[in-house]
Amino acid sequence: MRSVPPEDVVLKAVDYAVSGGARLAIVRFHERWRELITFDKGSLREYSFNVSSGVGVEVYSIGRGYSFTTSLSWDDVKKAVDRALELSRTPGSPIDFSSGDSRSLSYKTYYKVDPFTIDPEDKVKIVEEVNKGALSLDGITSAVTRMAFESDYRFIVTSEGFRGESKAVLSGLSHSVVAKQAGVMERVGDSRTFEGGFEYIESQDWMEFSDEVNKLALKVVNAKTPSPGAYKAIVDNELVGVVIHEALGHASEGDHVVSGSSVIAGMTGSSVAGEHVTIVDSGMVEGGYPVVFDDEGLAKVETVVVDRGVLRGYLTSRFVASKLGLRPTGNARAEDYDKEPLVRQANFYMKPGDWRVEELFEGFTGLYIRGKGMVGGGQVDPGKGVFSFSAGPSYIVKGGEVVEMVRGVSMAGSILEFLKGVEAVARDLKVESSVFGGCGKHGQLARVGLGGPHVRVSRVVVGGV
Amino acid sequence: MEFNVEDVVVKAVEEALKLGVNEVEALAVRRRPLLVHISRGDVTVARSGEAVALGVRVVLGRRVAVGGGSVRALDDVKLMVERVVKIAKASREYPGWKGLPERISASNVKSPYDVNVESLDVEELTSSMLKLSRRRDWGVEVTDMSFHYTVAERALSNTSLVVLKEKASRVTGFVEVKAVEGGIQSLCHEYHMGYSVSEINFEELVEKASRRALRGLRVAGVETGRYAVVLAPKVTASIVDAILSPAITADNVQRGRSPLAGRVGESLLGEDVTIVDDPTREGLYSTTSFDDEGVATRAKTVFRKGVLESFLYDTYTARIEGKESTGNAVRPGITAFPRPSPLNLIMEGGSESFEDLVSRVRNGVIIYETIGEWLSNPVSGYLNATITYGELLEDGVFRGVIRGAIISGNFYNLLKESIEGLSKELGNIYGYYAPALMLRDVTISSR
Repeated sequence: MRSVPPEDVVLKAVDYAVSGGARLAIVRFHERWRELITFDKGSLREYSFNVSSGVGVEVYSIGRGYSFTTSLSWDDVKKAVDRALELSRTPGSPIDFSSGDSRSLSYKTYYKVDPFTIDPEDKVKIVEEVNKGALSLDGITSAVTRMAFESDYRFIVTSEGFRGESKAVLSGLSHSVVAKQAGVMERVGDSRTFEGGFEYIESQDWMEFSDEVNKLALKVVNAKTPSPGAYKAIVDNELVGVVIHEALGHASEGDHVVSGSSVIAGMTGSSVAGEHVTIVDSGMVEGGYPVVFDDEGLAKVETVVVDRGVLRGYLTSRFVASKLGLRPTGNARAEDYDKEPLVRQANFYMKPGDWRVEELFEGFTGLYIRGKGMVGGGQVDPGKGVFSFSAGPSYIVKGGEVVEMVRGVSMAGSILEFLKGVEAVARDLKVESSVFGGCGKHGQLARVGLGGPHVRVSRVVVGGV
Repeated sequence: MEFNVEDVVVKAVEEALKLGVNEVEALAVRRRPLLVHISRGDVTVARSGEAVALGVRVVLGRRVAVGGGSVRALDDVKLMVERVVKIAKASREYPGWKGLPERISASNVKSPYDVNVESLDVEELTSSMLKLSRRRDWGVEVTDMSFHYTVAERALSNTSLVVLKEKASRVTGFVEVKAVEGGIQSLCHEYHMGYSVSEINFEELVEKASRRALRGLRVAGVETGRYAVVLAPKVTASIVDAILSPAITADNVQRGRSPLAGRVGESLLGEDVTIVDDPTREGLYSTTSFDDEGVATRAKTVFRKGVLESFLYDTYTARIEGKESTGNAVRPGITAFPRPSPLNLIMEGGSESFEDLVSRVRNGVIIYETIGEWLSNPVSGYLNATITYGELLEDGVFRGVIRGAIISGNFYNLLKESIEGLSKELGNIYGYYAPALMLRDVTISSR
């Protein structure tokens, strides 16, 4: 298990690829450590670790080829370069790419206590206490509590002379419970993730955190499901990030634009959202996931996707930027050494507006849709312009007053209708990332930051029975 | 790489035994994938490579831990095993732990491996995909097309030092097409998942997707209400995956997360619903001769004519109930604890063709594509899925395509009381196979 990059092998691979005819070579050593502790219904269900590491080689000659190996021996890496070169010569029109430069970038999460050096017993004790605490409550039939740590190290060198080194460390705890009442079972969960080390885990009151989850489950199991149909809605700042990520983020990924499978393709300069809506994708934001450079060796730049309701740009990789004639944004990201970079969001969030949260509720009748307690996430079909997501326990609001909790809220909408229906944007920006999940695309998972403030929208469709 | 997966698992077991563990189980996989992706006539990437990964489970007394990762050289194995043993020492006793399987074995099943996969001519494949992607005679544009295969060699050993080995291939072909007319655009996709190259017929996939995309140019709206629906086979399969699959696994049953707990023997679904889990059925996606604990696989009936017969077990959950494992131990990741999961979960088909079912719908929606069904709640059995392509029929006449409406309801109630018919054709998503389902009185929420 290596903690220093095989710099000699990476540099040699870049030179070898260029000598083999590559117009551009990008070689990445990628190592990810992960530890997971799971308590399930009072007992330690899983204590596991995984160290995934290898070398990925991306070359552009005629086309774009990608290959990889878990071996660090020069013979095996050389074979990977040969394979990538061969694949880049498969039939087809030449593929072009945006150029980068020869700068060097580095980033390392600041942490005081390396979570991978902590005595396993110290971690187990925290998870056990939280898990067993839930099971002592009448009505809770099941509880799963997880603690996870991840260290993601990337060392990238390109034939343009770029060198990038980054190490992101995440630590987190999640807690989900099932409550049962009168034959009805309901799940509620929550998690907290910090970019940092074990010091963050130690600084939290996890019993207070889990108590909130447990109480919410015991309450929502007695709630009704909402009547199906269209509602006015206020979406809270714990859910709006998922909605924005699904509703616009994927459609703004430039590969969908290139293939013509995005409903916002060709709409730059047009109004796609309410005038109070500004949405950006950033490499660094408090609470988010750090992306200083991408996996094609380009600096991640803050990208304004929507500015006061008007579509201003897309997220790009080298190929996509070249194809669309845009500036590269540094959004080509790969899950692991064995996957080619895809255009992915980094920290895609809505900027805060001017409203106080209370002002959104003044005279409002509809649904207050919350993320707290949500188990699930969302999905989008960017080509059809339809998105879907599940919410946590939510509320029916009448005349500005919260009158009733509802459960099982699932929502759908049209991307453009939803964005254009944003009437008001509050000030309370919140951005979060998660060590327990992320965004899935073409079989690859990416850690992302999600966020925004409370927003009020004119219409969403809610499922029900 | 100068080592094979058998060497890796044997070394892992030997190293663990040297460190004094009571039991050990090692699973190693060598993967060789190929991906060709075409976007609007450009080959945007071709990828291949080779990776070996190891997962080791060790038991010290009744303390259990799992770990591992990428294997770069055989020397890595010792370091991985040492770390797993260290974690096991700090772990807690596993309640009810009664050991790994004493003996490991494989059933007499032909593994789903197509020898032609590895000898595939990538240039020829890419050329034929490009040619197809540039054709315009379907009246649509092919926006995306991909071909993906993985050949996986898997070896498993445990304290017994017996080694099981299997080689399998998985193949997926995917296309997305777009029709445009009068400012309206309509995208549809089609895919096939199987194990053999010969199963992927891109022309047929494009044809099917094109037919729908062209019909999708006619847009319809639908009022919130209750409708007769036909779920296309892949839609049924994805709903079964999301809601039923977690509910029939013994760990969720035993831990209070399944609405089916304590209901074996009860009639919970309609009489025409029989669901089996059969990893031994030849040529299916999840066909395998042994599970991730080295237990020989076998066929079992989960629901027979609507009556719940059994759950799916791994060794741990089976022994809690004094039973034998059903051979359904699956590691969600190579370094994760095995847990019971379906391996070819098959809802048996009916006698009517899909077209016959559709022709019986006078007023209703034929649902071909959904998203978000995985956001349904398997604990409550509450279904939610968002329709991304549904054909609205009124008086038996096609009125247009609806998108963005939600179908919802209690999955068990729907399958107990609302089934009007099942198609004889099955569709699959991964190892979930299902027919088209015709249902009455399904809630559709819309604007």
